[in-house]
Amino acid sequence: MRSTILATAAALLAMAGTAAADTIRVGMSGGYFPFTFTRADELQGFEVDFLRAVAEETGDEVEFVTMSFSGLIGALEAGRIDTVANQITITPEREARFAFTQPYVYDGAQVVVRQGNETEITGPEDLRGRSVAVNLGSNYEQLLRELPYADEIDIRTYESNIEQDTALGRVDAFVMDRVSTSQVIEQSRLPLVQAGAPFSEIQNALPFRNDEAGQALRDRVDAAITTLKENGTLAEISQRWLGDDVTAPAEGADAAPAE
Amino acid sequence: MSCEIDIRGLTKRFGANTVLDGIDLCLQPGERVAIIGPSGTGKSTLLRCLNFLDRPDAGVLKLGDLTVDAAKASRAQILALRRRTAFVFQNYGLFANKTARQNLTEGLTVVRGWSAARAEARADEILAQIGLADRGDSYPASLSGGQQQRVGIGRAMALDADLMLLDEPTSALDPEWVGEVLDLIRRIADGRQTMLIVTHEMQFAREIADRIVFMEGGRIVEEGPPAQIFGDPRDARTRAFLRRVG
Amino acid sequence: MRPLDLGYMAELAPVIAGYVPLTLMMAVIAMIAALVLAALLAIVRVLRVPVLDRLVAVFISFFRGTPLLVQLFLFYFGLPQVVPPMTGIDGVTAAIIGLTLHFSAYMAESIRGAILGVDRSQWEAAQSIGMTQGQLLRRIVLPQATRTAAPTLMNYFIDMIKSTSLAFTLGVTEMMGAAQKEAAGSFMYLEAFLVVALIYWAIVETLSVGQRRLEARLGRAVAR
Repeated sequence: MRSTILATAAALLAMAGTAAADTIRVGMSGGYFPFTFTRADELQGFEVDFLRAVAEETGDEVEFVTMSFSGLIGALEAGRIDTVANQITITPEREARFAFTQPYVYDGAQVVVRQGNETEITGPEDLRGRSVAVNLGSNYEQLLRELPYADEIDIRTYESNIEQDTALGRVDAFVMDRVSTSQVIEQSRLPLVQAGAPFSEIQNALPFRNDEAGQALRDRVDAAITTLKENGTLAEISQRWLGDDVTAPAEGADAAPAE
Repeated sequence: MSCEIDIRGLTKRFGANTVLDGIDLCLQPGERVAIIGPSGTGKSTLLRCLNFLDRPDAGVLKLGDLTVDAAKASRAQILALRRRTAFVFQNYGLFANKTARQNLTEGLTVVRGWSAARAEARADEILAQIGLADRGDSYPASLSGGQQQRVGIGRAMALDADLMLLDEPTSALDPEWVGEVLDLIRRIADGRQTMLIVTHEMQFAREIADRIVFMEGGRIVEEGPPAQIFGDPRDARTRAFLRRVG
Repeated sequence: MRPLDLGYMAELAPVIAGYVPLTLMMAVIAMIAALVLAALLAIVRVLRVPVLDRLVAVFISFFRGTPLLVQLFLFYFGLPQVVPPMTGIDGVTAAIIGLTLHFSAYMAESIRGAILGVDRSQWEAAQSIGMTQGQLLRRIVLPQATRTAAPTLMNYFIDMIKSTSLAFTLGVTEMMGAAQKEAAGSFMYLEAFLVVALIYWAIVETLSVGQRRLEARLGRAVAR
């Protein structure tokens, strides 16, 4: 085992010297419907199809590495994966650390409540005095904390299963991107409804390590995304999984485009 | 007169407390010496120092052609010394994970490098001598106190040592078992095994020993033949001790 | 309340069960390595080997004093930032190493206790017949200490099997990770986690039966 470890280490060191990686290692949680999940042990979803299409464009192999969401960013920083395909939202903090591609999903933050509560909670302003679940390490926690009345919200971070806990009534609501909440409500048997309109425009993109090799790979992947947008492949993947094209900025959206 | 076993200036301290204060003792081949004296005067420590269960601080030990300077004894010397001595413990010290027979063979096969067959033959011989021929396969936990101590003595016998050290071999026994153990030691003594025995059984010491050593305060106060020590002790401390133990 | 979807559970069970070999492989390798390491650590402690004794004390204190998850993250994500070649250690290897270090610290303490539980007079008896330190440990002390420590060590093994579920945080899809991903697609959390729980339970129950038999056999050797 020791020699394997050493050999792998040597191979990786050698690889780090060259700018191009033959295999793009993509980290994802595997637990985020309909972007990444398994059925009968087969990994699938929007992100999976998207990254396969990207790899086909760049001519690289793609290797999916699934791990708990909270480990993904650490794995990226530690060089164990090359990027994270898990609806990673661009934030100023993350932009300072990582080299992002152009956004490939434009979305909004959505409040979801248990059926029957939608008359009481009709949007983010009704979250005062309520308990709200968000995924640990996601940027929805940040979005909630930026609300002027953030200190009146009982924000709870979860490793997984926030939909379930909202349906069970353990928390009053959860906040996630609008697109996946639609899918969750449609596909699951859980008694959940969207409460009001999305409250913040968000853009999701692929982060890479901010070093020479990472930026080079980012550039290659970014060019591939441009192609996939132009030839309609990305829109088609979006329609297939989300029943809607969320890969272009919404009409009249005033969000600044990503760097 | 040459000594088979020669102890010179043996000294042992525990911290500031000097437990053995320059012990000199000489044993002839086949000589049986009993050490008596009040509790806490270093009798057991003397035995334990002789095979380095307690490490002496100073002194020279000579066993036949083996000479060990206690202050700078090497590991090899300590092992060599232990291989020429056999120790009988107050609390038997039997290996709980070994049968009676294995307790006897362990030293022969592991330490002396005997074959298993040879060691077992020897063990069975000894089991017969100690009256436990039918208990060879028993584990110590299933033996009585007297039987356990007989195995402990048998283990020492099996080693065929130049010097057998017996540290109060009957003082942990229920009274009902003392007799059988003393009988066994008496038989060994009759075989002229060189031995050094620490005991509180005065009558027994008188009976089996060629020489009695009286110790107090980490020193040998007086030594001599049993008849003289018990019949005509010269030192006041010896007389006081013998009066106390009746 | 909806009824339990037994059909889905039946479909899912073989999928999750497919990860049992991985779970057992990690646990068994880590257990063997941890036993060896723990015995060495315990011996260093018992014999009070100069210098090493202090280092081992710190090692044990650290690995008992911090959560396994923290240790795994430190080892897998943290250290590679300062020691880049460590990136070459894959998740399975890292999980095995992490489990080994963590559990060896606990096991060393129980083995140490068991060693000290062997009557002092047996040590002295073995020394007195001229056994070396190694011989007396191997032939007299460790066999008895192992017997005393066996039930505790078995419990650590069971604990270790269950702790392999943390490997998913290192990118190793094992039973729990597989169940989480399946549940994400089906939203049948109850069924998915119930399947995982039942499989873990079955493994541990099987081991417990073996444990009872083993203890009965070890116990016979010293039975009255």
